[in-house]
Amino acid sequence: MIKNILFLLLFVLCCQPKIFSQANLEIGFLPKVVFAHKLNSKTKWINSLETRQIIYDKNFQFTHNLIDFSSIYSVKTSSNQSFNFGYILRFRREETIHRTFQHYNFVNQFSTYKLGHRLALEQFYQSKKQTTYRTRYRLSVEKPLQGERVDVKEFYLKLGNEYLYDFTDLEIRCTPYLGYQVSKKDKIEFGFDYRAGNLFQKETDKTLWFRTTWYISL
Amino acid sequence: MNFFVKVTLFTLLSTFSFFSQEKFEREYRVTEFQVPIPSSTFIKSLQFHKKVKWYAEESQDGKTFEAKVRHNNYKYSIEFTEKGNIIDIEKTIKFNELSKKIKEKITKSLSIRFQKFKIKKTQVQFFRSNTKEYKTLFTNSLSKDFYINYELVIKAKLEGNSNLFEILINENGQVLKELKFTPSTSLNLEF
Repeated sequence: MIKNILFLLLFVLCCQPKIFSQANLEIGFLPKVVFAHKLNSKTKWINSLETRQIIYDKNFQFTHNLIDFSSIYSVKTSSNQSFNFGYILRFRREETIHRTFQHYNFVNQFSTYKLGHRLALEQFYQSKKQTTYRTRYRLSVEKPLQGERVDVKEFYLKLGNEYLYDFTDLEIRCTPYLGYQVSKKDKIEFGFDYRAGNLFQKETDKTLWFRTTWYISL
Repeated sequence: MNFFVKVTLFTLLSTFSFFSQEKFEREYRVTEFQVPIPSSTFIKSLQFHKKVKWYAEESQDGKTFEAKVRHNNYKYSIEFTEKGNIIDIEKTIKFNELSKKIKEKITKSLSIRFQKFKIKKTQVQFFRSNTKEYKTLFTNSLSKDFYINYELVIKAKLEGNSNLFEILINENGQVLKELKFTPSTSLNLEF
């Protein structure tokens, strides 16, 4: 019952007409690779590399938009909760943006699906600009497509819904992914990352990313 | 950018071959028509009102089939051999539903072993050699000749570290099996 309600909720959120209207639409690729290294039973070190390529912005094109390097120190506080402290270095055209963040993760394992919550605080630093702040909440559901758990060489579905608030405006992200558990140590996800920003303004910004994420546990 | 693509492809291909050498264990959904006939016949004879979900589990130890169904607000899991013989039936209940006597025995055993524990899941395992007696689990005339074990998932503190354990315990409160396990990684839900 809870499962059905959650899927329905995500579906309804994804179908908000304001989010899916077509003005100011940008389309691109968003490949990402995440390396997780277990330091001990309670801590992990996660590094990732993400790039963005725009294929549509008012007209079709193929331009490199940005590259992100991130490094996160993750501390497990119980079997299903963790705190992450991280840093992202972003190169966007001539700009360099530094970002620090703190995450609180909570993952619930149910008999046939997993439910993950992520609460985040972010701080953005850029030369000659004022430091800005952002809060985020993300809800993700992972459901195996074969059986009750995701085994090696099996597919799963992951649906995410995230709310980002920078104290002036709101952004909502909807992320349906198809995942594949390649081995016990790595999985790949393919899907869409639809973002609707400036939702408090008349003209909202929309981006549709074709996302590929490769998670590797070292 | 080409460099990144090449590095990514090279790493991807080499990792696939590296990680293919690992323990084989897989659980997946199957249809009623893919399970051994004696197992589907047994399940049909019980005439459950709710949908029965079938699963197969493969590992180095062989293949088993499992029927999962909700009956009278309890989750049942009926496990069969590859030939369709019943291995056991598990009923998921709340720990508080157990008799006071057995609760005390289990709690005493766990308190000796662990500094601190919390019971997350309780399953009663029923064993019997006779298929007819298994049917009494789903009727009002429950046979008293079952061998019963209790399978618990607990979150417990041992030597200062908190972990999840699967504990198999008999009616006398004797621990038959203790398995420490870590939940599957949720890297993709966290990062």
